Amino acid sequence: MLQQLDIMPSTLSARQRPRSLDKTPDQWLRWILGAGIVVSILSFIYFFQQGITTDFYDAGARMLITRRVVDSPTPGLAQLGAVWLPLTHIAALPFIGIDWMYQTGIAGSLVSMASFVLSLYFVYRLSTLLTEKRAAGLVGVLVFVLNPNILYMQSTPMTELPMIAMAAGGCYYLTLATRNPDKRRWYLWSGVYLALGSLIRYENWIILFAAVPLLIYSFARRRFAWARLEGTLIYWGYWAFFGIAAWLAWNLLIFGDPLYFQRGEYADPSNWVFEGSQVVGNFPMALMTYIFAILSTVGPMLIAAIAGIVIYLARTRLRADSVMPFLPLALFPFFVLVVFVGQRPLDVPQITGGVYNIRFGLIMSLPVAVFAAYLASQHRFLIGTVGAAAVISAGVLVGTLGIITTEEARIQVNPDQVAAGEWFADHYHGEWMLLESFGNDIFQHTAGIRLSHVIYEGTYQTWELALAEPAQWAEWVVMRPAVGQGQPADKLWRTYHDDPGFHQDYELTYNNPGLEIYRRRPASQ
Amino acid sequence: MNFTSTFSQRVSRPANTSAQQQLSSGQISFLVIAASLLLVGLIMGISPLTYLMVGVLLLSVLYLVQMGFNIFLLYSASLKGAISDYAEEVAALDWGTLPSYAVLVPLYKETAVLKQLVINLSNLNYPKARLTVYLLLEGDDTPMLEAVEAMTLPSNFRKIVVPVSHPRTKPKALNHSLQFVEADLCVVYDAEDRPEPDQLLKAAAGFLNSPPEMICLQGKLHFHNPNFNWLTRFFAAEYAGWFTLVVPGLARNGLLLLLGGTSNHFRMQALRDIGAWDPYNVTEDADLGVRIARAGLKVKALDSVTWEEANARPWSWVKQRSRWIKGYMQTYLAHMRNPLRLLRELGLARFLAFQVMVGLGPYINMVNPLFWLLTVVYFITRSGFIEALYPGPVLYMAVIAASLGNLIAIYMSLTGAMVQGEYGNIKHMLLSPVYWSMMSVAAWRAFRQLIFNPHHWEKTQHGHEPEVVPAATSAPALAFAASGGWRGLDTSDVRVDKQSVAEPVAQ
Repeated sequence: MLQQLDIMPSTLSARQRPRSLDKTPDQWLRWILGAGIVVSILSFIYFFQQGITTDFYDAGARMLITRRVVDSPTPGLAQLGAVWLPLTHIAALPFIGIDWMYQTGIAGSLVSMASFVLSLYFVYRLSTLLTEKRAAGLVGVLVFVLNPNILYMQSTPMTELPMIAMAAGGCYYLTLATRNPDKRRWYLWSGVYLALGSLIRYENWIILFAAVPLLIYSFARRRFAWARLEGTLIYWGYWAFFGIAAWLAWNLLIFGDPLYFQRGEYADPSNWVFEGSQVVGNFPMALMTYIFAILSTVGPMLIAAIAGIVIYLARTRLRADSVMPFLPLALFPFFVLVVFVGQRPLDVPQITGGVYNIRFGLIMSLPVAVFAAYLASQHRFLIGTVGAAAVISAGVLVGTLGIITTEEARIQVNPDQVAAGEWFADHYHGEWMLLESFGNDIFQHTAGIRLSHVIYEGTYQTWELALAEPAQWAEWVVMRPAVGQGQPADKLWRTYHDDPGFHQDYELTYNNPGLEIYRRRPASQ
Repeated sequence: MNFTSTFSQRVSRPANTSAQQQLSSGQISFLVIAASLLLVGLIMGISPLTYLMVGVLLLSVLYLVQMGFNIFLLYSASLKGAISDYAEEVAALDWGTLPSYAVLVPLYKETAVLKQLVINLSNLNYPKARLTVYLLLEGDDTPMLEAVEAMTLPSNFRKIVVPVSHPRTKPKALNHSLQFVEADLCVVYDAEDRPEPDQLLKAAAGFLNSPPEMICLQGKLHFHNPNFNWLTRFFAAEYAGWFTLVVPGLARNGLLLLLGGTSNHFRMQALRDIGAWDPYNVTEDADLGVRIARAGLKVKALDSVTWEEANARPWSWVKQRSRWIKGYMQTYLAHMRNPLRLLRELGLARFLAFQVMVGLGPYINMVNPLFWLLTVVYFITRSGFIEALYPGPVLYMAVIAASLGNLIAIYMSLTGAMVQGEYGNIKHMLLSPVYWSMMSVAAWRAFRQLIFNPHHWEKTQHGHEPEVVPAATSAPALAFAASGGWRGLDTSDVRVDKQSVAEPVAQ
């Protein structure tokens, strides 16, 4: 009997089973991702050749922080500090030890470029999920990829693209979760993406928090019993809030205060209260400021997206399975609010005349792409129309405002620190130096100094000892005087500039309005 | 009849893997040499701190390995093909040629659940002429013998009395039964089991549609009483996580599948050929899983549930878990008598899986409290001595293992509760470390027993809390219940569910 059983063929082999259309590999997606990689590389080469991929102040600073994990008197993950969220730095770690990758910022640009391709993947997935049309998904990708500001930011070591990629992943999987609430894997993956995002930018925290009421709404519309609602929410939130919990724990373990990133001596400057702008306290002005920031960075496709949102709302009527695509829009009221209360400065040419932080508007490119795709899906004619509009929108952007994020980066170039760094690179031979790193990042990055011989506020006890007796420790001392609003003198300038004892030991060898470089007198060794 | 002699004439064990002997001479020599080398190192001036640092380093690596293995299983279990219910194959079954099936039920002091058992097994949807249920009774278990004697059992039920001899274990009873049982397929159930009625059909369909080297199908075990108290909540979630994540993950990758004690279905001839169960191993099921793999045969996961009763009393739970952990320790020692041969027979992937699950698992439970204590003491005292144990890279490994590793372990419990649909229990799973601390107690108890009482089988008592009243849902069960079939037993709580009684199956 058993022998008979053993040779009996399968009643229905895998090959015979009908394949669902949904399971077939999406050839479009392969082409889109392939093209995305090519676009990413070409864009990087274009901006790199212009020498502007590290123009943002933060670009050099982020490279410096990452490098210190492997190159510092006290190397280790603690060097990631508590000023900025750490994930993009950790992602750049495999490349940061290679000098030219560190110096050129490519170590960080690679992270942005990979995030760009990942963003494309999710824009396509989310668009096709909502529209059930691959052509509409392609339109969404076009809207996203034809934005020159996106192409520039993906070439820099900044965090905009990683942030968008993680938000897009979280949004996509949460949309799947609200459509199939019994599928556990969607809670896991949405949670993972949102958690990773929360370790990249604090704005992702807002998206994460906004997901909670949206999930509750979706579950309530499905008439989940309380126990199921609560249990599912905990199951999802377990990983989703892991990033925030880990960051608070990190701050507690390393710096003794879970909110050190907010309350510490070197808290993220983007959290500083910014007063004096004409938009602070003026809600209509704050609202218009952020809308102009979106228009300046995303372009006229914003109008198509608004039309798409209206149609989507009318068709889906806030059903339980339709609310999650709105998740990235949570950042819209958030930015309006923070501009209104003066929590963050934001300048737009149309109102305040500047461009500082205008890249905040770029974050809306994700929902703009998805809802423009939704608009395109409404009629065959609209597919081509919206696609063509994306091309025209890119032309309008470049033709009117230029690639405005490059302008924002350009004004952040610190010529004093760059000049000092270039001078120092010619006079430095690996000696020990003392400086306050915070605020002097560009000097250090430009000078290409040997970070393992730099004593700064992140070298713990050595920092305190060296501050007390600099001549015992450092050949070079670099200090920064006050430079305009928001750039106060650093700790070394405040400590030593008027200290005669210090000047007995050190002589000024280089200075410009933004930086002073001292060298130890031979007799003081 | 002396089973051992009879049985050993019919089968040949490929390697000496019996737990009758704890340590082989080679293992004893290895331990002695290792201890001597450590001692020599101390005498030659290697500081105890160095030993501790190396120990912490090794354990941190092992924790990371276990974490990576859990992630791998979680990922694998989410893929298609990890587990099958053979639904299409069941629909295509030819009822006239179904294989003969033997259900083996070892019973010892189980009078409290006997009537439930008869109903539950009568509910199995399988041609009665092809199905025989064997109740395996211990020769000195008088109350049980009397209780069964007092019953008018369904016609396809048989009883086998196991003579009193040592060791007093379940696998010995199972082995004894094999000389009386002739069937194509067999399955083992425990006394309190309530298998899904179609389980035998699914298993038969699975065997019929699998190659001959697939000799075992492991069903899923779930508890019917997850909400009885705090302990059953954790236990049920752990079980659900094991059978929903770990077993399918292992099966999908063709890795070592350690069988659960019940609901494992076998091709009988193959079971005999590989030597059946080791009567001296107190987790004979896990040992059998290893031997199946060593013989180049396969186990698959069956998507069919058997409902069991979760142990609801903490000390009883500790005793039960002690036996399981002791059994793993026995299994590890038994199969590691010749590690190279084991590696050759299992292949690298399954050999590593064996090391992680059987070798590492029990001892991780033993060292957990030590590391918890170290962590707490460090955060209270910021002790320089503890810092010295964790130089840079070791610290990173330990922190990742302690944070992410524990989070993943808790997540498996959360998933277990989610799988069961016990949403109200999910929040409780966040307190899993409390449950783990009980595992540590059990692990140390198991270790002590391994040394002093290795073959002692600690009996788990069932029927201590209200079961769902068994319902007769098949024609044989209905007939049995309606006939007032048992004499001398209280039948007042037997519910006959006439609404859901299945039509008599074609025979």
